[in-house]
Amino acid sequence: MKPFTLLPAGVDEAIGLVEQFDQALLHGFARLGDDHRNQLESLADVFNGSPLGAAVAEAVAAVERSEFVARYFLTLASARVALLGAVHDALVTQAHEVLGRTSPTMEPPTPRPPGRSATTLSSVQQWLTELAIAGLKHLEESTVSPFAATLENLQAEPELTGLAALLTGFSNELLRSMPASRLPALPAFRWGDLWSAGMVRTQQLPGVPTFSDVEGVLTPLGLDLHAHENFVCGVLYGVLDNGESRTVRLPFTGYKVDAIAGAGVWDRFSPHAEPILEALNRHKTLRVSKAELRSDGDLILRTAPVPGGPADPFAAADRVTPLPAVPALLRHPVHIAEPVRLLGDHGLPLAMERLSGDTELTEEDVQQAPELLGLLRFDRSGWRVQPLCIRVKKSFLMNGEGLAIAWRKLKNRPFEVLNERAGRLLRRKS
Amino acid sequence: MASVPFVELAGGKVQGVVSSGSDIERVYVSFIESGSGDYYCGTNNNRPCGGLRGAPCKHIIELVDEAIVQFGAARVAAYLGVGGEGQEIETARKVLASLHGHERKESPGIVFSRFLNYLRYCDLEVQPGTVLEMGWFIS
Repeated sequence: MKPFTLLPAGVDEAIGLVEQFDQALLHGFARLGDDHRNQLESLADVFNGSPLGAAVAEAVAAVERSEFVARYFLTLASARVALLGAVHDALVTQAHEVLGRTSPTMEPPTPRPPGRSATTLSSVQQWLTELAIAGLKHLEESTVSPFAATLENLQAEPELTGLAALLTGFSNELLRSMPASRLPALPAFRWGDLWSAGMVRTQQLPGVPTFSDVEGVLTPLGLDLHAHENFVCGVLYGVLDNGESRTVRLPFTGYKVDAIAGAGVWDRFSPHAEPILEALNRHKTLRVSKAELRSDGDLILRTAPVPGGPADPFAAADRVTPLPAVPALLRHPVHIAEPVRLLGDHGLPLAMERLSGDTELTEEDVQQAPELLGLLRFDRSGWRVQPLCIRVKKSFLMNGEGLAIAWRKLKNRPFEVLNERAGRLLRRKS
Repeated sequence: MASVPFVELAGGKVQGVVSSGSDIERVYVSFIESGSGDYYCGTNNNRPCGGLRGAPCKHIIELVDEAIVQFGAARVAAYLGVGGEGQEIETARKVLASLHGHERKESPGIVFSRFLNYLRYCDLEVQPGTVLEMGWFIS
């Protein structure tokens, strides 16, 4: 799609500033060189006159004097997050203009004070500060592994699921890369993202979205799966019809261990997962009888849905509505996921890397499909489309439709096997 | 997973839990150390594995093989400090052939408690809803 080849003004510049900041983070604030100092000062200049201006200038001056206090790093992280938040907003506006959609106005839920999690959150801040001082490219296993205790406290608090999932993935990734000095190239931008996203989430607890009770018919558009060793978040995109129509996300989230992957993770989401995977496999809609429709666009099931009539995702895609905007603090281009229906000659690069290894959709099939449903995505090189579902002759092929069969074929239930083995060890010990 | 329910690269060791091939009741805790190549395998009530006769037993081989499946041969070899330029190390036997350590008894307690801590992930509760933060982690 031609209108997507040109990026909104300022996007490249903002990303450039972020990349400069990431060099300082990689290098370590304890050993800033003159070029890093200049780059930090130009970051401060950009914020001059904005609400963050004075704070960013103060933080830059402080770290240049080697005054390494957590709150200065929090300010620097906020500046980085604000730049990419602005990029996110410009890109979403562009996408909505091109697609002829109106951005929904929604009051994001109000964040809450940290309360009893204050100590854990300040330990997180301290650890992230230490990483920044040392520099991500100088990390050793011994700098990263002591974070385990804080991480455990974070994981034990369901209100902090988002931050815990983020930092579990980040610390796993750091540990896997140790010693970082031995790696040929470090993912500077990615680690900058994870570092700053973690930092800005240490100030408050996320707000609780409001919801209304709904029932209706859900037509699945396809599954978007995200996971690291210890967490999985699958999102089934769909259109919910209940008199009116809207796009919803049906989320499946939970902790896991790294040995459990692929179809095995769906044990975690039993019993709701069975009818859903079944409906995907048999190309059926889902009848949802008791659910919460949350103000953020999530559909939270209270009872298992029932497979309904034949699904026509391509027809449903014409009833797609934009999902509500995410709270400002959480905005980042990586979260842009605008459901779209595109003809085969759309011309956008395919974000095949966003599909899991066992996807039903091969690149060749997607390229040859006359029509596809997908999520409009953005990476630093521009707009892309992540396929969810493709038209194949008179039918379609949807990401996730093979899971039901793979799940049934599993020889053993991985969660049960692990617990049984642990049980043997425990019994023998006594 | 049934034969090696747990393996990790931690504290300079490839360590984990290995099921007995003959007795469903029996579970071993094994490790092999980076650098020194020292190793041990025993049941968790401190009885040494009968297969240790001056060399790593089959449980340690299974353990390293599973580590290679989960983490990749290159990472396991690098972690244990073997291989390097031009040396293809893709199986546990090759990894072990490059290490020349000795049997060194260690209590299974640490690995066992790390296994239990690892299993903790299976019981953790979450707030229902899409976890936006997972947007950074493509499976």
